[in-house]
Amino acid sequence: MANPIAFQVPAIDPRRELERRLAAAPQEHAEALLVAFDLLEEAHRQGVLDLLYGAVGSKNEIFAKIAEYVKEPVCTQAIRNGITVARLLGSIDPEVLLNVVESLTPPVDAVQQLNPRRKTPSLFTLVRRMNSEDSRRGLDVVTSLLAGLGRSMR
Amino acid sequence: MAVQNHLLNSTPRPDSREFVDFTLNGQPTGGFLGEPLVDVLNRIGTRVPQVCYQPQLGAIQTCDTCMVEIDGKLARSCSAAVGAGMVVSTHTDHVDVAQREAFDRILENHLLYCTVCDNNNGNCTIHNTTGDLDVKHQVREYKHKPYRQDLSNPFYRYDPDQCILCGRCVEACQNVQVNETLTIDWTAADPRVLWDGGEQIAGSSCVSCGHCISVCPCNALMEKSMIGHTGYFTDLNPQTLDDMIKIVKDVEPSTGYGPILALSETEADMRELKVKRTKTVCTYCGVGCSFDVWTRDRHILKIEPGPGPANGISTCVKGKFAWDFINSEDRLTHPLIREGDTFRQATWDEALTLIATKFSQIKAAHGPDALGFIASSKCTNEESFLMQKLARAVIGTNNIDNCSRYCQTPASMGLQRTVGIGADSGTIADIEQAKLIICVGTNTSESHPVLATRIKRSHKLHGQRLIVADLRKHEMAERADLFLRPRPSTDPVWLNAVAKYSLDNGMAKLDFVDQWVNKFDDYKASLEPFTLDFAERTTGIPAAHIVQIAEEIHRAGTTCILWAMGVTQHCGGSDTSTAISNLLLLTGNYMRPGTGAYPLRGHNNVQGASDFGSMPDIFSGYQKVDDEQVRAKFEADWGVALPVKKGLDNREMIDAIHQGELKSLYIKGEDTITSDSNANDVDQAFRTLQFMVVQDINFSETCKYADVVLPASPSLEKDGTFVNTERRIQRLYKALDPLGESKPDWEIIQLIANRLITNQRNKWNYKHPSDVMDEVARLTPSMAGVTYARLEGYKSLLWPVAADGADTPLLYTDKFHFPDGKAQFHPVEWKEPSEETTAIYDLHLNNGRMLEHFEQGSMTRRSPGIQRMTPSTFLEISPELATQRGLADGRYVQLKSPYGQIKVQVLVTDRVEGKQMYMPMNTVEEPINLLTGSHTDRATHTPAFKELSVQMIVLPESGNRPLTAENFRNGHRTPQMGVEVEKKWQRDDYHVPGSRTQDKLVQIKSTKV
Repeated sequence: MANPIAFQVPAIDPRRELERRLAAAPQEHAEALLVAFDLLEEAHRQGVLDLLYGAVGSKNEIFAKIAEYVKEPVCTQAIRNGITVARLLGSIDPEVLLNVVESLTPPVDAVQQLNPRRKTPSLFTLVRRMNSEDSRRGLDVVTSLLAGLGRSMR
Repeated sequence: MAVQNHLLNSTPRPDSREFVDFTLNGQPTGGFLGEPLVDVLNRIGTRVPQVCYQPQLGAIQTCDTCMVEIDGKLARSCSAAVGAGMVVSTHTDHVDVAQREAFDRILENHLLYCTVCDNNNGNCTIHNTTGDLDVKHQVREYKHKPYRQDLSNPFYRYDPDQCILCGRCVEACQNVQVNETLTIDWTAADPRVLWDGGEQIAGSSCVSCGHCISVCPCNALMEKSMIGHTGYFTDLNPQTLDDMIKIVKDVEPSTGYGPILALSETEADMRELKVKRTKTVCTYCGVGCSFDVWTRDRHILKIEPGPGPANGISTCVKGKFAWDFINSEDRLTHPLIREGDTFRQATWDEALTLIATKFSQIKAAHGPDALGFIASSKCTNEESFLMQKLARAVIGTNNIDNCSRYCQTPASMGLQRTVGIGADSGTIADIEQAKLIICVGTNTSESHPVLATRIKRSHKLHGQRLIVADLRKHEMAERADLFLRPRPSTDPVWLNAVAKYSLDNGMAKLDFVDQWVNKFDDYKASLEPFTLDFAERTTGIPAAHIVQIAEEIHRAGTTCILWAMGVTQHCGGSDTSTAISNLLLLTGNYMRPGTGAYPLRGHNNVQGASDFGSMPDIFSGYQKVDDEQVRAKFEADWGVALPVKKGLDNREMIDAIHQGELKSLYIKGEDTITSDSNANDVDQAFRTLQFMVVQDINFSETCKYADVVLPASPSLEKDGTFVNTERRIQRLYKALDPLGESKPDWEIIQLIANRLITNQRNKWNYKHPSDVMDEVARLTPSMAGVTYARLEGYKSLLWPVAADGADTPLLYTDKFHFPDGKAQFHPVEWKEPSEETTAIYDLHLNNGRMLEHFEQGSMTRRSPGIQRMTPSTFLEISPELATQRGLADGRYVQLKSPYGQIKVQVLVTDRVEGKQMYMPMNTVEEPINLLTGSHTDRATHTPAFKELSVQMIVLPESGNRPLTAENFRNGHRTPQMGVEVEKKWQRDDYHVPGSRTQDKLVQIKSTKV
């Protein structure tokens, strides 16, 4: 005889489900698990694991803090300026920049090694130097840059 | 509009369209005359942007991004029809300007924050178009809308701030789902999508079908189950997300959209590691919608329809949203064994040992016919096949049946009598292209919602005529060109009267009858009593309406008749089904597209449960158990002798239990105590069983009687196939692992079988359901060509399937399924119903389905969203009855029949009239079957659920109106013809993109990043 019996099915315990899957995991993923254990051990010894744990646990707070500061106008402007400067640098031919740097190195070194007691060059020496092809070439670059700057400020 | 309103399920026959040549970007190409130009462009790989265009919706023309030049003039490629000799350009400057101007207008309405958007899954149209157009910056700054997010619907949200007003949702709602809830008021200062013309979803006529969400090209309409679950960052605090979005927007003028999109695409790719997309077939009704289910671990993110052969982009509230039961806390996860007055958890080994021991003992003591097996209409075909194999080959009995006994068997009988095959003669494509649809006893929009959309669409857009015969004024009745309300159980009368009138007035297709149908003279003679006068007196239908039906059938040329439980669940259900088929034969409505008989199967696999042999008199493919040759074939394959005589059906099993002949029942996936009629009688029977096994996903009402309860896996946790109402076999794939110790039903049946089989050679060794299907194909001529490979992905097969894989969308194209190839009339007479109303039981209680719940609610009542919408059952009574009895909404009444009583709240509605009442069957608390009797269909023993007279006693208690305020039945639709884009074009702030000089957007360059 089978009289009906009301019965409340116990609620699924998600931990038991995970335990069941965990119990099966070592067999299915043995090699990967071994490597993972090595990685975990090393990360723990280096303190990286603790750092990661903190970061993951505070994901929301970390993102919130970063966003709070980065959204400030000074930060976004800095990012934008950084992008602009990066673009500028990217637009310069590296060979040209290298030549400029290499050509500036001796005079810079010379200035750095200047003995205050060294004799000051004459006006004629300076004018002759400015009239040289190299100097005029340099002035061309400088004045072009100035003109471009002036145009952008219109 | 040049092209619009195509049929959704029907594919144009290749030879019906002319292929024409035209020039594209200076090169010759071609397409079908009249097809949308954008379809050709997509097909040959010359894509243009297209934000609002969706092939299944057709041209909406709101986004303007698909602009091309045709013969030198700008035109939308979605609405332009292919014509011979046209000259099309897709890459001119003019086209480029127009497309970009159009898209810039869209970006004004939509804030791009893809990386932190739950819709960033590789399929977002706005994101992808931004990339395709290589948009660097938008000229128009994004503009907030003066509306809040609407979270009032339990399943989805609408965010006006993200809405681009493409109108896809409106088009889908108006012309695909044809619920006609959504509109856009183009005359408003800030247009937005409206529900019933208002700004709140809850309480509108929205049925939560999900069409609008599925077609939304961005995240404006989104499933709530997706929000915060899909992306790596989308679960962050909303304020943090807003800050992150602001940062990106502030930096973007320096970077352009390129790097930002690259970042979001990387994040979208990363999501693929966690978000799984699995194809499945809906577990609810018999339409057989198929779609992808997106899951992340066990969380069901969404249902994404698209290429399903039965449904395309369509879904209903259940298929789209009601999957919470899969992860319900009270799922059965361990076997249970009755012990005293409770159940205890057991191991599989213990449970299987007990079952094997008890089955063996009962068989030894009382013979194999002392055991009965009830299969499930919800389980897979393979599981149905194995259940009948267990019964026949292992136990040795033909006592196997399934729940089609409760609903569909009379329809099958009617068709088997007349045309030879008890199944739908065609597909949904035939239904949508028919010139006339007659719906008899089917609440199609609530029981087969997606199928109903095709009828509603054809009726609205293609001039299809619709006649509905029902006791109740449901949605299809409201839309019908002719709505008949016959007296209960009188359908055969008006059907035969229509036939007689057609015959007497030269509207019968006698040439067709001469060629294809036997027994005409007998049939003609049987129609004599069914005069117009007799029909009117008996049914209450005016004679003029009966004449009208005959004339409509004659005029239409192609007619489909659809029917369901309103026909079959009567003592004359088989006869009414026969009368329907007789009428179709008389009027020549078989053998051609757009014609035929369509008994609408209620469950996802009620068709398959029978097709694959879970019936007392047939093997798989309807091969008779008493046919020697057939039986010999199965015996040879299975290596055992098989029982010869027909077994017991569900109803006969109950009787056999009362008589002491049946001692044991094994019930798989069926809540018999609430499904079968006369529940008190079934209760008495179950109490006397010696041993009962119930296998289910939840602890059902029937489980309470079990000695052993076995935990089974639902559809998302297994592979297999279902057969829908079209005879369409489709594959479902496993998306989730079984929960706890539950197992797919096929594995459980195999375990039981192998405990019982002593001969090692006969032990079952199925490794996968495909092994079972291979065996079916081997043994079943009508399934000979069915293989899992042929059913891969979204492919499907309509049985019969020949060995070479050729399937059968339309039955009887060459002949009918009788030895001489002809159909036959089967005369039927009309008999009074089993239960007329009496002085005491003076009210008729109709019963049936509801859109949002399914069966007794085992699955849908575990959906919080659906429960919120419709928490309890109710009794519909007419306003006149309410007045007469002094009743108002929420009042409790007691309903009594000779078989039992229940208590329920009333809902006053004009869906019913006079002394007709209606109660949904969707509850186990105060279930309707406590009232129904044991009358059955004369031929098939299907319970006559619809023949029910009751007494109503008004109780003093009153409660809230049982229909909550947010239920869609309170809403008021706002029908219109699609999105009405012409009104947008009339706005002062609108001009065709590309038509003005200032439309050239200098900041946007066409070079890729």
